[in-house]
Amino acid sequence: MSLNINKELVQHISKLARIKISDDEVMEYEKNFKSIVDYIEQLKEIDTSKVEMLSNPMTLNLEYYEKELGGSRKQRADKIAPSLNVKEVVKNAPNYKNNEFKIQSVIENS
Amino acid sequence: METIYNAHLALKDKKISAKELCAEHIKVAKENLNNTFITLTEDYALEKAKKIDNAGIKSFLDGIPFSLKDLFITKNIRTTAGSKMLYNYVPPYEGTTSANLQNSGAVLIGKVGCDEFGMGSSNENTAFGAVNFPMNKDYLPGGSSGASAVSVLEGSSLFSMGTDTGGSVRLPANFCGLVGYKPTYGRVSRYGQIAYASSLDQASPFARTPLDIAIIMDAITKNDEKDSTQAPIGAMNSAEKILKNKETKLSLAIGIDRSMVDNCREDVRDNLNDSIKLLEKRGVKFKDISLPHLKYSVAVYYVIATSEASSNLARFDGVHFGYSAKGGQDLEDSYALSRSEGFHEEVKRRILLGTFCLSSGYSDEYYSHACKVRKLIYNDFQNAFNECDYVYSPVCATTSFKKDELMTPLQMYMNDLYTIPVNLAGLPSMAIPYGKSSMNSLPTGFQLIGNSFKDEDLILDGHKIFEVLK
Repeated sequence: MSLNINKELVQHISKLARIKISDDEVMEYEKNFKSIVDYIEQLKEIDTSKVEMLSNPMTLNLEYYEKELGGSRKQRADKIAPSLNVKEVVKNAPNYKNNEFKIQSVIENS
Repeated sequence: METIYNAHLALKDKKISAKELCAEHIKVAKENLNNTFITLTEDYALEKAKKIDNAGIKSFLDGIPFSLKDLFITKNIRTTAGSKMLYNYVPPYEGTTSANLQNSGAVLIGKVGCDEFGMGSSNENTAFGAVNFPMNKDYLPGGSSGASAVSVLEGSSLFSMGTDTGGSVRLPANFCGLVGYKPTYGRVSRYGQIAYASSLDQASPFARTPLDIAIIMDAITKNDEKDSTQAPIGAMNSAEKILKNKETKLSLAIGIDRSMVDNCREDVRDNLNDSIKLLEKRGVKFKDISLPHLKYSVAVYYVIATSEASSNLARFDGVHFGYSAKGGQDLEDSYALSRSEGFHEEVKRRILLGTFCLSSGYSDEYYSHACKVRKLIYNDFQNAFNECDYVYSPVCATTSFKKDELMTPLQMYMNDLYTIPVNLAGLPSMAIPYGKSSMNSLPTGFQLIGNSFKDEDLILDGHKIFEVLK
């Protein structure tokens, strides 16, 4: 059973991702997506009903570090440290004023 | 004097000064035969080298010229990620990897190109032009850290730092005949490394020998309070151990899934079988193991890596930093316009794919399910490590590929079939060159994969194996 990838789905995803794509690009991405998603479908043949998710190897690696290698994974003390200088940070913004980012107005003047 | 260690000895014996050594390498960089560098830091480098000459050579890295993939944040030095999106970005802070290397005495001579945000296996997806492969101009150096490999190969750096998310260091190392090392996930801080897929990314060095890799790893494994995913193990001390070691016998058990070697192209397969025979003669016991879920790695990777990328790259909105498009109708529209114009096609493809994998109605079916298969891949390796010290694997089924070889995105992704499982399981792996192809004379090689946090053992044994095979 393969998912039906069509123009509407690609357009919906592009809206969610805040990426504008032209009509030509929609066709190209639709084609790419079809082949990639078809390929990913093979994962469905694996029964994972008794398997836990592994979203980041950190947890298992640290467990192994503690149990097998005798390490300790105590966390650092939670203390206040200086943050980045605001003046330096805003300098990279395309548009800023008084150490604040400037954007297009979102509420119209009445 | 192509290795860090040899250069160190020459510096120590005053056969060359740090300033001369750096000037030599900067000269190659400025000849710019291969489009390797995005930003050169000549004045900064020469000034630092002069200071080191005045202070005297103390550590292995004192006065050693190196380059950084342009995904590493460097304070007051432009950092582009190979993207139009960050064309003019000058970071207000220093990343940990850069800081550690520079504080250890290494001299940064510049930032080198890469596939945009680390996404690609060919080094062609970049706003700054593809990097040439000095061994044969018809071929590619591999990606995404291809320019890092080329900077070592062409002699503009004695080592280079890349990042490895699905093989982005081991693949180009393999194509270029260099040693590439991907540490255990959590061994090196990721602070100041522009994120592609956070659960897979790891800073990874290129050098000519495992001893040089040891010297680099010793400098970049310090504890960093700024990355909570780093294990607080502290810095390694592997270079001294390699130099003190006199034992050359290889009493190791190495696991191998023969089908992985059998599936390689003939020229690669022959050389891999050759290396196995040689290692057996020197005492290595090869054990047949099975890694049944590794064949799903590429599929799992493209769900997980794109999902994480779609989230990580959401920060690029054309407001806070980076490229900002003109002419948006309103705020929402200018976000979308900036992202569409600022990102390269491959990055957009991956963001879109990741957005799809995480979207309502599909995230259980794709993302959650892929994370479960990821656990099965992790389990395969753990089962193997019950029987052996390391796992032997190809890096790529072929040598480097030709520039004009047209591949679909999926065909391109398949180049990473052997490197991806290591990132999914968070393991360390060293790509070791061995032999030249009988078809095109380009380098071939293999990788040695260790268990979590066995980095030091892997580097010491990798050194012995490298010496036996060279």
